[in-house]
Amino acid sequence: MAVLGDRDRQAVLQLFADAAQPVEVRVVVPGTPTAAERQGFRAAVQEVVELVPLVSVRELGADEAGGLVERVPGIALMRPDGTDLRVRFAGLPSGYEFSSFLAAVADAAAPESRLQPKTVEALEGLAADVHIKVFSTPT
Amino acid sequence: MALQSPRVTVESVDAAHFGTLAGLYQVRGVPRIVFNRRVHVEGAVPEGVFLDNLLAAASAGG
Repeated sequence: MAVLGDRDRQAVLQLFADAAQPVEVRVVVPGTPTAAERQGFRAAVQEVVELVPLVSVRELGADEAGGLVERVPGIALMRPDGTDLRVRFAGLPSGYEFSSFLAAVADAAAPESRLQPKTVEALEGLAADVHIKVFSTPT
Repeated sequence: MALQSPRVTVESVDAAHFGTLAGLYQVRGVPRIVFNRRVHVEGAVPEGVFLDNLLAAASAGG
């Protein structure tokens, strides 16, 4: 049974309409993955992968993830060649947060930055590392 | 912004799933955005405000 409805599928196609770069969604799960939450996320992501050829998903056990994520379940956005895009998710996004997750994947797949030019310029001059945590709750 | 700069990393955290971590970061309402554990802002802020906070965190020494 499909997770995404017709309207959702159209929204995904529109979101990724200008996708130009491949993105691999690496999902790191605990050693005994049985949660319905994980199954729901997996099903939804698989439907996105079927709609957007440039997006792929790879599932890893915590033991084989090699410290890719700090917390499990967790997600890392990468290029298929292993280039780290420095975007992580702690937990498996659901509800409204799944839309935010898709937006992040779409940004990573976009042909160029969607940031304002002055933001791009400021980031190019960044002289120190910044780690950002965004706390949210599933709705 | 993490996509744009190798100096920036971002982690979106499910505060309900990782309640202990959320407590450490004093999360009372969401979204709460924390930059280098020093600078924080509540709510979905515009790009310019987000950048200002990021730069403030970078200036504070990481």
